[in-house]
Order: sequence, then C-alpha cells, then structure tokens
Amino acid sequence: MAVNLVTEYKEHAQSSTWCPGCGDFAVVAAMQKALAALELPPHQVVAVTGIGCSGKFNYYLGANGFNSLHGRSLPVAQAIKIANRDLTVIAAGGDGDGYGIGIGHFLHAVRRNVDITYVVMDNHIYGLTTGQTSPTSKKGFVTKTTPYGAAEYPIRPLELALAGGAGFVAQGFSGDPKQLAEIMKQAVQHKGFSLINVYSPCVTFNHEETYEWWRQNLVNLDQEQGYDATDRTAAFRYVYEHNGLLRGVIFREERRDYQSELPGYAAEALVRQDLSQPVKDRAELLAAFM
Amino acid sequence: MWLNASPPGAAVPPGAVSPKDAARGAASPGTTPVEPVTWMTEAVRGSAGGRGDRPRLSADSARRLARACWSELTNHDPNVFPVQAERRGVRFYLQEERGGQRLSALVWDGFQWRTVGSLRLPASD
Ligand SMILES: Cc1ncc(C[n+]2csc(CCOP(=O)(O)OP(=O)(O)O)c2C)c(N)n1
Ligand code: SF4
Repeated sequence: MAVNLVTEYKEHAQSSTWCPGCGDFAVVAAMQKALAALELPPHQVVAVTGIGCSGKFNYYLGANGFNSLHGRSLPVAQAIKIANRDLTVIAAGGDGDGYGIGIGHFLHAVRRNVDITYVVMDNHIYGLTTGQTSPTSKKGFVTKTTPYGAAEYPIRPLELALAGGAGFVAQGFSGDPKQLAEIMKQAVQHKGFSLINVYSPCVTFNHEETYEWWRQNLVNLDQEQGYDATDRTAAFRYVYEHNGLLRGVIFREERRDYQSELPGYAAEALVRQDLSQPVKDRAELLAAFM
Repeated sequence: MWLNASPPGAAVPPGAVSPKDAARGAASPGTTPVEPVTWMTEAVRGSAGGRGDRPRLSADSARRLARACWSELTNHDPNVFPVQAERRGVRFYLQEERGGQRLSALVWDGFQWRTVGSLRLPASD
C-alpha cells in the first residue's frame, strides 16, 4: 500500500527545476514516504506554499497544491483546514518566506494552533533570488547583500515556536531522509500546529553550511540518552545551549487544537455544511450591527 | 540500455542538455545511448579542474577517476542524501526521478557549481 502510494504521489508530481543535490529534493521524497506510510492518498492532502525555490514543494509533492504569495502560505493553509478539516494540510516554504516576510503569520499560526503541519526548508539563504542573506543566516555571513558580513543576529525559529506554545516542534536534516520521514509522520499525526524546521542545504549558493558541515555539527536527539521531548523548559534550554544544532523531535504536547475550541465546528467540515440554512441568523446578526 | 545521453564538456558541451532543459527533464535530441562511465569520463576530461587551472587529464586518468566516482555513486548508503561524488572540480549527483534516475555533472566556476550536463538513466529494477 505505502509503496504504491509513493508511486501515486510521484505520478502526480511535476518535473523538478531544482539544482541537482538541493536538499529540498529529500524533503519532498520524505514527505511522500510519510504520507504514504500514513495511508493518506494525494487527493486527501493539500500542500500550500509561498515563494522561493522551496515554494515549489507543492508542484513536486504530487498532492493538491496552492501556491500563494511570498510569506503567505500559513494564512491560506489555516483557512483551507478550517474550511475542510477532512484534508491533511501542509504548509511549506523557505526561511526567507516563513521567518522573513511571513514571520507575523508564523507567530500567530503557532499560538492559534490550527491542525496543520508547517515544513520550513531552512538553508540560511535566499536561493531563488540567487543567494542573499536570510533571516536565519548566521551573524557575519557574507553574501551579495552583506559583503562585510551580516550585521544582525539570526531568527531562532525553534525557540520562537516553543515560546509561542507550539505543541509539536521538530527539526530535520535533508541528509538523513529516513529520520526526516519519521519526524514528518509524527508531525502530520499530531493534532494541532506542528513545525518541522529542516536544514536543507542550498548547494548552489551556501558554500559554508554544506551537507558535510551539518553532518559534523548536528546533534541527533534520537541518540541522546535521557532527552525528554515532553518537557518544554528542558527543550528550550537544550535548543538554546546547542545553538539550534539539533535534529529530531524537540518537543511534543497534546493540546486542544483551534477547531476544537470552536462551538459547532465538530459536527462536520464547513464545506459539507448547508450554508443556505442560517440565513435568518445572518439577518439577526446584521440587525445587531444596525 | 542508457537513455538520453548528453556528453558534458568544459561549459555546456555540444549535444548536452542545457542546465535549464536538463532540470526540466529534457532529452538531448538525436543522441545515442551512452554508458555512464564513458559519459562521466568526458565530463572529467572536458572540465578537468573546473576553471581550467588544472591540466587536462589523459583519457586513462579521466576514465579511472570517472570509474571511481561511479563506484562511489552506486555503492552509496541508501539512507543518505545526496548521492554525490566529487573529484578535481567536477561533481556528480545521482538522483531518483520519475521513471528512472538522473546523473548530473557540475563544474565549480569559482563562484558556484554549474550544471554542465545530465544523463537520464533507466529505472533500476
Ligand atoms: C513581496 C515579495 N518580496 C520579495 C520577493 C522576492 N523573493 C522571491 S523568493 C525570495 C526569498 C526566497 O528565500 P527563501 O524563502 O529562503 O527560499 P529558498 O529560495 O531559499 O528556498 C524573495 C526575497 C517576492 N517574490 N515577493
Ligand atoms: S538555488 Fe539553492 S535552494 Fe534553490 S534549487 Fe538551487 S540548491 Fe536548491
């Protein structure tokens, strides 16, 4: 079943324009595997992206897709989930898309806790626009836009998500697609907002943080004895102390998702409800504003 | 049988699929089936150090180098991404794609790795 579903995803996918070796290939492949393992066929899944190389994720995944505006994948993804809770909704994009122009949406999506998975292909650079400093580039990072080195400190997405109350925070690495697929499976199964920040090397423009560099510098939480992913304070401290250089599930907690907080929502997906019925209610509502 | 061969060379060699077309999955028109090591040998010979700051390799050395890279690519740990081999300023990637695999050759141009050609391989059984 799972193998056939992977084939089904691949058959629906478009041919890629990513550079050979781009980490994003591994992200798409891992997601196809994860969805197949969860027996979720392409027609039950929708991927929403912003703009960037990573913004092509939906074209290459082979499920339903929505390519939104730069930094705007999250509002669209949340709206889709709220309208049709029967769909599995994945938002995806880059560090520029999600932590730059889209950072406001990110923080609110974290606290709102709509049941979607957000995959950020974090390469610490703007790939599509040919290699400029991004919000996660390290201080001192030299690119065309920062020839004397980036002056700012980088955004720390994991700490932001933990501080914002996220119920599932994980980090993956394109160089280990097996672990990444396992993380994705857990994230999709998690009820509520789940963040997977993926270190996904840009082989064309980021020549400092290569696969080799990540391999040498990332601590694999699956091999850390005694790490407790249910302790938010400990998770925060661990991420901070390791300067975010971790991979694995960092934190998980069962929380009621946004939809569960809405009266009347549970009955049926909004798209299946007869919206012609509450005309009277709407008139009453309008009258209340008069 | 190997499909859609496009022998790479120093820049975009004659008959090669251009990087843009290669990325789009295009086949090089009118090319004959080529065996990967031969194709890779041409890539190594054609670039031999990327920016031309290294001497051109003899056919034999280039072939030895290509063979070593091919062996590295085909004996790669399946759980590690990407499948990559690199020698003398030439880099190869072997990647799954719909209906088969794609072998890409890239050359370091002093600023970035540029795709100089790609070879589509049939699906491994
Ligand atoms: C409103 C707007 N501002 C700027 C851009 C130009 N732009 C396109 S993609 C991008 C950043 C891409 O970087 P990232 O999100 O990290 O994705 P990557 O390409 O690295 O995957 C920018 C600034 C745009 N398309 N729209
Ligand atoms: S420019 Fe970088 S991020 Fe974009 S496809 Fe190429 S390797 Fe990937």
